[in-house]
Amino acid sequence: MITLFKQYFRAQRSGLLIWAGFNGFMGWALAATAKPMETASALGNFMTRIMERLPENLRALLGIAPGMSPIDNLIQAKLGFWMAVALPVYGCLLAVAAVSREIDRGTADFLLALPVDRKQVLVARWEVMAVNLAVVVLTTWAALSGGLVMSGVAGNFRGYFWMIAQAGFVGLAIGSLAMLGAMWAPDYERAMKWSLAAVGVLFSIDLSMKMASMSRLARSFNPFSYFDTLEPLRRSGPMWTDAAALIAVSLAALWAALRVFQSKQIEA
Amino acid sequence: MGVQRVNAMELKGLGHLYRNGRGVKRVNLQVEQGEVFGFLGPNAAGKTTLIRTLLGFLSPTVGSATVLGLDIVCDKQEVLKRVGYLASDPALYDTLTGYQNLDFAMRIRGCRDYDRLKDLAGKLGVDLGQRFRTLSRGNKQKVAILNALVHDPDLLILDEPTTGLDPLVQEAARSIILGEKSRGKTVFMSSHDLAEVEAVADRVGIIRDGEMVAVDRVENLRRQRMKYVAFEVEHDWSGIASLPGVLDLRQDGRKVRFTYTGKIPALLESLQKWGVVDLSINDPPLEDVFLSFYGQDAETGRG
Repeated sequence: MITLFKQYFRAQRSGLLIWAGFNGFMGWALAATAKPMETASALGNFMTRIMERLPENLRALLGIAPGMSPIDNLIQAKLGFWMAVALPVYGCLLAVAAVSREIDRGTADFLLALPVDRKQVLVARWEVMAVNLAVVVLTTWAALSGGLVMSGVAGNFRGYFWMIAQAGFVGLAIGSLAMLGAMWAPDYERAMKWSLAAVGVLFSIDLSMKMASMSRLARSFNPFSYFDTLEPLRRSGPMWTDAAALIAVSLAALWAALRVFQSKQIEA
Repeated sequence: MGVQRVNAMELKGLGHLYRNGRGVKRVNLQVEQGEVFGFLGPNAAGKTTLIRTLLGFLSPTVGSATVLGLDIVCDKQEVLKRVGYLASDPALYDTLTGYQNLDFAMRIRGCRDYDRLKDLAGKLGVDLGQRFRTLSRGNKQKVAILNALVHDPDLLILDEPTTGLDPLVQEAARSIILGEKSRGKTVFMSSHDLAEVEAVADRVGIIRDGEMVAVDRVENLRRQRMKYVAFEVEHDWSGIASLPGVLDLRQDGRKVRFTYTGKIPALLESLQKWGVVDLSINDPPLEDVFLSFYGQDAETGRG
């Protein structure tokens, strides 16, 4: 199992470097522009007063959520929402690559002609997805925090970490569901299109339902409903219940994917 | 009392049918240990499907099979430990070097014979330090050949091993197959290249539309092998009909065509007499060869 993990992690190294580097740069660039926000007043103009009438989630998206410092508002609006999309997209890329791309490119033949259990192959790939997402979360947080410290800005570092980590859990859940879905995809291209379309549609549905002030229960089918940019910052800590739900969804999707993969016909 | 030697492969009505009804239908076949078996057929005849079923990529929809005495479904892991597989268009991990790919496969197989790897890589003349994606088609094939051989398998399953390769690499692959045979290993290779199979195989089988229509020794194939001959003459050519081995003679103006199963030197000697101005001698399509000497038996699968 360790050999399978190491081999696949190594094969995905270039992608990880790109994603970690890009998101790290995003965090650092955001931190570099944060200093002027310390002195800015979020309610200092007429437009802001108008926007105060908007639903809380839309105000969060615009960076004017109530009860937040200007810096926290900037970071949750810019980085929080970006990570909520970027990490599920990265999860999908890894998951679909682990199944459909391997079959399309023929590396599945190389792998499955070895005396190795299919379950071990898929679990190793799921683990690589989880580790890669964790690396991107840590890199982004470290770059953001480093940038803020260097700029001399006092930020809510624990809150930022748990906000990004929560996006990582969403990425893991959606990636795991994409891995399951890829079992039925006819080819890599369509698996990729379908999974990325699903990310966009689910994100938009959740945002729309939040703006319509629909209850949490009504939104609970959607993995994005377990992500909130504001709550981890207010708590300066994790949202354990939501994280547990996302991990449970991930494990359930993995379990189902293992069952399907075990009997999947690998055609030429 | 001697110990009975198990067959390297024993297929009992093995088949895998796709949803569209194509695939492989109830193949019965025995391949002895130490034998090189050539598995022939045109494209889409079912060669690759049968190989993928034997390796567990596809589940049998009918029948059963053993490889080296092990059931291909129940003992799949054990089978794969003792088999070396070369795909027709081998793909290893692009971002890893040849060595990293092979090292990974060796670790999974619990094989630590890095001296053998070095030795085989030297024989094939391949640089394992380069990333797989940067290698030429021929070098990729060489790395894949190493992957099939490095753990010293008892059975080699090769799916069109030399397709698209330059003659030098083809020759290297052939010499490796013969080397493995001389070491008592079994080789099961699919191809649509009759000449390639003739050069290395002890027996051949032909598959058509998912059914094994003929299995025979290569000597029998060679004995009955034929050529398609076409020539243009200036003088009377009617004597050609009396030449032994001339079949299916047809004339179109000064052009003459026939199927020839005799010796080529004898044919050339005769043709000189009739003032031949143009001549072509071609191998017939593989199926024609088989159908020509299996006749109706081949059609019904009783060959």
